[in-house]
Amino acid sequence: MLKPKIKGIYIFIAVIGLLIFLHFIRVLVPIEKAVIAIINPLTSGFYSISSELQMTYNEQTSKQDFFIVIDNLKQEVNRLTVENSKLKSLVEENKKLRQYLKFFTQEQYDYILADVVSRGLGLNSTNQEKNLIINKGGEDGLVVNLAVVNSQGVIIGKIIEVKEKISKICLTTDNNCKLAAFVQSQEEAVGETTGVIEGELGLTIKMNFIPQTKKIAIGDIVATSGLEENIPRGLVIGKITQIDDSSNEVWQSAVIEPLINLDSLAIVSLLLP
Amino acid sequence: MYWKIFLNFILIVALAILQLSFISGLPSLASKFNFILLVLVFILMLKSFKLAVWWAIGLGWLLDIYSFSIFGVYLISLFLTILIINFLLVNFFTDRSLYSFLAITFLIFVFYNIIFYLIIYLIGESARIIFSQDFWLNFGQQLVVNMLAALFLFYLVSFMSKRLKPVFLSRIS
Repeated sequence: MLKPKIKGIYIFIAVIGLLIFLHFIRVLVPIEKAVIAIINPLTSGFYSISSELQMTYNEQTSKQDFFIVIDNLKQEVNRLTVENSKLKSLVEENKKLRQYLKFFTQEQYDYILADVVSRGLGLNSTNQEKNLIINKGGEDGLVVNLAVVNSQGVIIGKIIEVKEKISKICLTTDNNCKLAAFVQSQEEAVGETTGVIEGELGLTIKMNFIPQTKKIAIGDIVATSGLEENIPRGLVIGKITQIDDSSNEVWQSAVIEPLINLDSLAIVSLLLP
Repeated sequence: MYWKIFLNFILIVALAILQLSFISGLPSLASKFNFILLVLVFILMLKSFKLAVWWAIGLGWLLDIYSFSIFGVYLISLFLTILIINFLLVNFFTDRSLYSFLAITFLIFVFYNIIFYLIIYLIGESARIIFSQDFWLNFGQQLVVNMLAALFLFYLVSFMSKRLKPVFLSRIS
């Protein structure tokens, strides 16, 4: 006869085996969906509290850099004022051209709003994977590779996995997140520079495969090129902060800084095709 | 009886939500807290093996629902970790001193990570994670943060309860 403790272990193994088996034959899926539906409002509430803590922490730690930031912003304001006046004249010109062409269509995206419920599972021992879990899934019409943007329309990543009630987003700083992108050069004569962006150590973004013949500059804006299915063209990714154009390399690369803080996202928008 | 089961169920769900949503979103090293393993250590040392396994199964199931790895990874790794830690508790760390408590906390993190990533490696999902420098750096950070948390919790619990006072076994002939 089996010892009571050994017998107990067999019971536990049977329970675990049963839970896994019933999941794979989809018997437990309705219960799992119900559990997610009940828990999701609580998880998004808790996540928004911790993301607020994250923001407060970031504000405190970045206070030291405020003076440098203020100087940089003053220079940025001057540059933008000049650029703004140029753009205003372009808007006027554009209005006239639209009138001529009777072209009033405006880009409008269909989108779904989703709450972030978790940042990974918080149990993994790696920082390279920057993932978010949101409370919308396949049942809401989401599919893999949809673009995810913040409230200002800046792309923050794309959907990489979808379940019925939840989905996983890789952030643009994630090592496994790749997007087709192009550089919006400040010099008009340069022409379009395309490449592929991917995350670097969960901190910055790197743009690779830029031909050596193309001229890019620090401060240039990088946006999605629209070459990928389901990801529209022109979603801003970030700004170039560093360029590696060693002459012995076939391609040049650039380091891109995201325009927004990806650590403090609580609500995201998913652009539908 | 049923009231106890219900209470445990609520606590398991609360702990899973806390780990999934609150701790994962905290800044810097605070996000390295693994409350689930720390609570399992406490249950194993202060309550019973049986209760710890039920908690591991409940938490593993909830984490698996939210996980995008193959279903069952958390269930199996938490269960096997509890089995190993219980074996060590029964055979090697028989007293409830601070040293054995810290050793058990250390070992539960080591075994949990080994088992979790071994399963993921065996199913071929991300062998590269285990061999990356980043993995070991984060693993070290996790260990340090959680050992400190265990130290703090040990003194907190021993201040409030007599269950963690060192005892010496004597043979009754």
